[in-house]
Amino acid sequence: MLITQEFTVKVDDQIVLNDLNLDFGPGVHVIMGPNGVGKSTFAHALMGNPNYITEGAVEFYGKDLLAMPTFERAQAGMFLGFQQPTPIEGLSNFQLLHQVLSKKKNAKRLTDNLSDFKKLAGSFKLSDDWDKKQLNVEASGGEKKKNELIQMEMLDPKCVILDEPDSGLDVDAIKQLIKFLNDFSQKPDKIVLIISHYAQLINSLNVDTVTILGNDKVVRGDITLANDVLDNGFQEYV
Amino acid sequence: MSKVKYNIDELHNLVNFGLRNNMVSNNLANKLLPDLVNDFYDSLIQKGSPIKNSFYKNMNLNSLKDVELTANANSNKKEDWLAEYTEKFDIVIDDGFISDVHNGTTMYRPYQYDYFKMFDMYSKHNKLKLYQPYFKPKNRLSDYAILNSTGPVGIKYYANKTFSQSICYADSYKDKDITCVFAIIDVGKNTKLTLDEFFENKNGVKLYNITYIVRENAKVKLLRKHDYTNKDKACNVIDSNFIQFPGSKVTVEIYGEGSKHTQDNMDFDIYNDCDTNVIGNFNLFNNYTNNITVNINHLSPNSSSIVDVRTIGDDNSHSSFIGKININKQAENTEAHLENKNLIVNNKATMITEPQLNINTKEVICTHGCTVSNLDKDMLYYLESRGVNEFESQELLKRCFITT
Repeated sequence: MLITQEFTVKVDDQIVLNDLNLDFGPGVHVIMGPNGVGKSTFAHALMGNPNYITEGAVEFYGKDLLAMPTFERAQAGMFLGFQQPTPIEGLSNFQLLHQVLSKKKNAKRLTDNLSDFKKLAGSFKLSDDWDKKQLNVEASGGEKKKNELIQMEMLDPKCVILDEPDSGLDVDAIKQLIKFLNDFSQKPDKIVLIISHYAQLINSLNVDTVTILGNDKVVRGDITLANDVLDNGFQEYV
Repeated sequence: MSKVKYNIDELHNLVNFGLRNNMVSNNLANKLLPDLVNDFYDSLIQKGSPIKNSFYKNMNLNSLKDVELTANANSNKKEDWLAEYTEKFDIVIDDGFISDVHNGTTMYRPYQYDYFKMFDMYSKHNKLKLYQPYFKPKNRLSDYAILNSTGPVGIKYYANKTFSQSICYADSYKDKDITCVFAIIDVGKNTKLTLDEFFENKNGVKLYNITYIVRENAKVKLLRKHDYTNKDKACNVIDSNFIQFPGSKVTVEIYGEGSKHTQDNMDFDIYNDCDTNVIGNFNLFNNYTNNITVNINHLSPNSSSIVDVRTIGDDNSHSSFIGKININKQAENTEAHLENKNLIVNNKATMITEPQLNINTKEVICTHGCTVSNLDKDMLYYLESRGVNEFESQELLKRCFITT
């Protein structure tokens, strides 16, 4: 479970998100809202981005998430798929994963991890040398998003927050993304939070809850809420 | 001789007093290298201590000045000291001493091989006089490396050979006196030489003046490693002069972590159709100091040079870089690129970078870029969001900085 209580997020003393009381159990949860309302802020604040000041409480499978630095949140099972993944010259796609996976308990052998990585990269139609490519450097928007999904699959987190995972993906890749997320969410105890307004994606997933973040209020519902927003816009809800 | 305590600022007095065995007081040195000894001695008398030279303005010289030295100090030299070097190196050089230790042999006198010969002042037919025109006093500390040394040593690599060798600039005496190394590396025409150099730290000060004469169409790759051990009390002033004859190519790669005080100053005189590459990677921490100067003189047409020096500064470390490109009026069609990147990890660290360009002809391509930056917070956050802890994220980014 991921539970926020009076969760407030500030940037330079300015409140961006105020007193959010939300809970997300295992399953798929869609987060929607107008531009600038703080959807990405919500995701990054949960992940521990140092640009944000947080108040209130966030419980993640019984742990105090806000008390942990970012890397501990990740090690506890949180994963954020970035809207714009950060390029790092000199670090290869696989090196990053190897750095993390090699430190896990019961870590697989390097060659096994590399083999898994290559299979995943191949399934996303990424180049044969994708493991050696520099992390998010000289990659298209779609390739970067696919790489985020590869990381997600290999790190096997308990909770994933995907910030507009569909942006930049072509038609085939969207289909793959849908299958990928459906497979992932069917594993036991996986929480999937998706920030998206893409009808095809939302309607192709087994969505458990929909949360509309507004300027002053939060509206929650099921897939019908998402479809109403997709048909008629946010006006009624924010 | 009696023991006398002194510091680097008082070193010029020791030359006059003759308290140490040096080139001025050595009759053989005066006979073999009369012009050189006179030029350097006259410069010392006229200009005084080089410590005041503005060349050192960014170099945190206090870390060098406060070292207490002792002339004629007790030596802790072991009788079989050379044996320690036999497995790792081919040649060992110390103050006025050069020896081959290859394959476990320890030749205490310079020896001649098929590919090269070593020489010192006592070698027969050493032709030292012919090298005199390559040496001019610069009013730098390395002038002392010549005047205060017990004599020059050198290696002559013969022409038309391909050869790989390793040299250790050792600390055999392990005493409190200054160590001065005056070395000549002469690479024959068309020869391809790969030279690994290691500069062993001593608990005190070592001054080096090393001249590389790279003759027509020779190719030299120099892999220079500073000593990563015993850095707390080690001071090294390494001045290297490269004379590149037409068609020659020199690549220098340097790796280090600084020390109590380190200088690695390189001057290149480049004639026509030459290539020169200088790559430096330095990772500084604690209160270590590392100063790099690269002075490239393009003297004739159609040559190229690339300088790429990168330093990471952590803790209270100090680094300085001066990169200077001089392009003569005659040096048309020169291509020169100078880059110095610095990554400051801790705001207590000091990093100074200074590019200098002196271009006297129009037909050139010349670029320079010098930066000092912090670790990128977005990158750190991204890595940590994948579960890499703060320390490892920093180390990863440092490695990325050096390797890209």
